[in-house]
Amino acid sequence: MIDRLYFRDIVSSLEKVLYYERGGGSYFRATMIGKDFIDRERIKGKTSEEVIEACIKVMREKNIIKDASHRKDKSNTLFRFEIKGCMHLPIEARLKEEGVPTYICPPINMILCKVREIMDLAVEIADITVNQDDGGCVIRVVVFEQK
Amino acid sequence: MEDLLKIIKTRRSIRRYKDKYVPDELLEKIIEAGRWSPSGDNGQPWRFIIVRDPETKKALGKIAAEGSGRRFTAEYFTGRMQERFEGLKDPDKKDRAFRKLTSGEVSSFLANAPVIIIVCAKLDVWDVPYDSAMATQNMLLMARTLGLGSCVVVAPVSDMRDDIKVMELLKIPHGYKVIAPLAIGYPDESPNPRPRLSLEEIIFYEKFDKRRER
Repeated sequence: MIDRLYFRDIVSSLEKVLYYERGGGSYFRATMIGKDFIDRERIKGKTSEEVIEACIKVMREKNIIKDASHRKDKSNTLFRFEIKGCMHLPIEARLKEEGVPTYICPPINMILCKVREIMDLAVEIADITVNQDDGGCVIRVVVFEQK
Repeated sequence: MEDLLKIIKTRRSIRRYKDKYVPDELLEKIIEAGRWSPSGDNGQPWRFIIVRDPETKKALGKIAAEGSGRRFTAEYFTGRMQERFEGLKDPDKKDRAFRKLTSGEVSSFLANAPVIIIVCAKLDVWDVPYDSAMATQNMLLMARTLGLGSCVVVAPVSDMRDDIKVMELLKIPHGYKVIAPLAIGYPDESPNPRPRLSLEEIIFYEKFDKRRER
């Protein structure tokens, strides 16, 4: 078992280093973080929603998150995810306190990687809001067909 | 000969080019300007790929459009784009601007540039981003001096997901990275200069909180 504090120290330092190198562009360098992990799992689905649920199930089983919910708005493009009890939350909360904006969400990266790969759709994180007091984050993403 | 500041001030990012051949000699002069840039420990990490092949340019334009299109679609659906364009009152113009951004058309012009110079960098040196940025700026200024237009188009390489496709397309080996594709050609437009911050806004004296006393 990895010491949690050690894990948080190392990951938050790395995230801070990247942010101080690339500023707002850090997000674009981090979009594939988490892909290796989810690629080892058998994720299937016939719709975006099914793929999303399959990813959430794996992440729950592996204790990466406690729970996640999602809903689409009327545009049928913008998804709103709420993730609770994520192992990355304390890291992001610490960085937020230190003035580093949240630019990475590995659980959402994993979901979007699979939606893109299986459904052949374009995907992008629009914004990430860390709410440590609520024990969760809200992430808005777009999923759409790119012509 | 024009003085340097005039060349710097009249450089524009050109996105529309004449259908006119750009000779190799001019491209070599542009690259020569990059070659003489400073680099940490004289590492000279820069390498350049000259792309003229229409199919490769088309593929680069497509990757660029996908990258921009995703980014701007996210901005549009959260309403941030509408906030950014609040000052634009003409609804038709606004609609056109939104379409140009969300479709990725804003970056797909890369496919139509007569030449694309891909600035790459070797990673086993100390100061890759600084060295490469200095070389790139030298090249833009040389292009301007030669009467050529240019534009740095980072859209196909900003995001790792796109960067990987460009690396494969251009057969760039491990140990190197793409810094930026530069569109090059004879300009077919004369854009106005973009607004600049004043010197007062950007200069501090001795410490970051001290401006010149008036």
